[in-house]
Amino acid sequence: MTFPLPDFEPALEILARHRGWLVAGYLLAVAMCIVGVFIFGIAIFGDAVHYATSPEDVEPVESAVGLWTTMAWIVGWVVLQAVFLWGGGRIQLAGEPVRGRRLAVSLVIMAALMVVLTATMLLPLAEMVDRFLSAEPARRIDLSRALISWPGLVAAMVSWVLWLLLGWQAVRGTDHLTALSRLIGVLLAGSWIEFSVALPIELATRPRTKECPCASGSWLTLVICIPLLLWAVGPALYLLYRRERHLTEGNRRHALKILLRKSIPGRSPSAPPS
Amino acid sequence: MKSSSYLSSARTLSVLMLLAVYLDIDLTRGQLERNGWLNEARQVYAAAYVEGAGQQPSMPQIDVPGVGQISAKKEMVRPNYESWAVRVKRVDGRQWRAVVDGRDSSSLRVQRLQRIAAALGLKDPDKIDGNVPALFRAIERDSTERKVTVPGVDLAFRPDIAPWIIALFTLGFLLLMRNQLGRVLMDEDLAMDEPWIVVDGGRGLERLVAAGWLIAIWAAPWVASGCLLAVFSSQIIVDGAVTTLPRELLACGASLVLVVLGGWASLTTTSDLLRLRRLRQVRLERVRAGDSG
Repeated sequence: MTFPLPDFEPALEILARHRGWLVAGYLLAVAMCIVGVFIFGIAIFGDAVHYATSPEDVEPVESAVGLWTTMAWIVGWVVLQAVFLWGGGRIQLAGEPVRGRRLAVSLVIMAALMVVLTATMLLPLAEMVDRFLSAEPARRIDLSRALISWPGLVAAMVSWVLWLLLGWQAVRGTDHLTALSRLIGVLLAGSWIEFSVALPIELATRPRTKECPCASGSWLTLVICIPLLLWAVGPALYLLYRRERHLTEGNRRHALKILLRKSIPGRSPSAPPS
Repeated sequence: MKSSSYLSSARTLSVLMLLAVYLDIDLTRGQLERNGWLNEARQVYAAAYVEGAGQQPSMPQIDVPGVGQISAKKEMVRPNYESWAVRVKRVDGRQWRAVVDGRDSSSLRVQRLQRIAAALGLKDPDKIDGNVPALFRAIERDSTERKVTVPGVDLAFRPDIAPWIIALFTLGFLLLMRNQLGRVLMDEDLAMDEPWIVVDGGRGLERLVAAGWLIAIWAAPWVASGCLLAVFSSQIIVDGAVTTLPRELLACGASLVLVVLGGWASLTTTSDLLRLRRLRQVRLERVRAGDSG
């Protein structure tokens, strides 16, 4: 069974055309986040939305985490990106189906991160219906404790295996570049969906947890999913570069088309000279 | 095959969808603000209602015209903190609950409610009898009777229901657009006699408008579902979290389904639009080359 995917080629083409700007924007965003994390700690991801919408409601708190711990987190974040991309060896552009062992590490990382996203997806929804650390004892569902209990850990393991199987189905029989693109696509979609659910809930429920923002499920989710979203964009941009190279190697006219587009103003990339 | 009408229809649908989403944003901002005021008004009313109850643990249920069936009892509203919780069942079946904050000052209640009534845009709040029940009834009536008209269907809905309807319509509009674009893409003519800046705008400002329109189509369902989640969360706060677990599960499931389906529909519709744009630009290029040749 393979996944029938619609044709995203035109969208990818536009992104590839502006990949320089995308990389510059990405590096700028990463640099800003690193500075923010050093000053305010990881809470910056939850509070950033409030700085943007109602800065008067935010009381900046200095990071309680040590410098070396923060450094270790940032290095780990970058290393995980590298391991995801090169964990199974150099990316092959040959277009042949890739062997399973070349994808094993990437698959394991994708499944593990998807487990984190799946688990944290419950937090903003619980916050929305006032069940996460609710002030009223009768309504309270202690999700944070449930997630680290034995049933929670078993559920996480089951979820990890399910994501592994799903990931394996998605990449089976495809070439290395397509396989990695699909895995990163799943992570991008997962973290984006989580972000788009947590953000409006956090904005609407802020009055409830104004005095202690970290007692909010949506706030915690933002703290987790924004770094994950940012993490997933890095490999996606790298794979965009590899895709362009693959296209250029496979079709010499692709390079000519790019050259023409850059040389003759207004000329469509899809209409090479006769 | 005559595909021009399909493209024309897709264009009209996209305009309707964007109008609906714009209304949704406006409605959500207003509703979040109104819910904040309503929440405060309910707390003021609840505090006035239980005043003088003394040490008794509960108050009998009574029917208050314009408000609903009211009951009050002392509950553990926070760990190690007991306070009065006032529960109201309105005539329309909807319920709300307010916890009385011990710090409430009785002397300022009328002024607070008058300020809320003015903020909610009630006509001449000063002319309403200067007592808490009358002011509160006017505020509650305003929240009960308010309706929002959804463009495209011209039906009026309650402000807490309208975001669900708009999110559903956004998904529907996108599916209709995708279907129509599919028919246009199947046609050899690519509906060339029907202009649409999104698929034709090639240079300068036209290109900017096309990009903006495309981004708006892509973002529409995300915004619509975001508005829905925000209004639902805010409604839970203002109603004092009186919903039952099955209803909450249903709402969470439905909103997640809307987020995922809407996102997928917008991605594929935008992708189809980009494909059509590329094909039409190749065709236009050929036409121009033929003209100049």
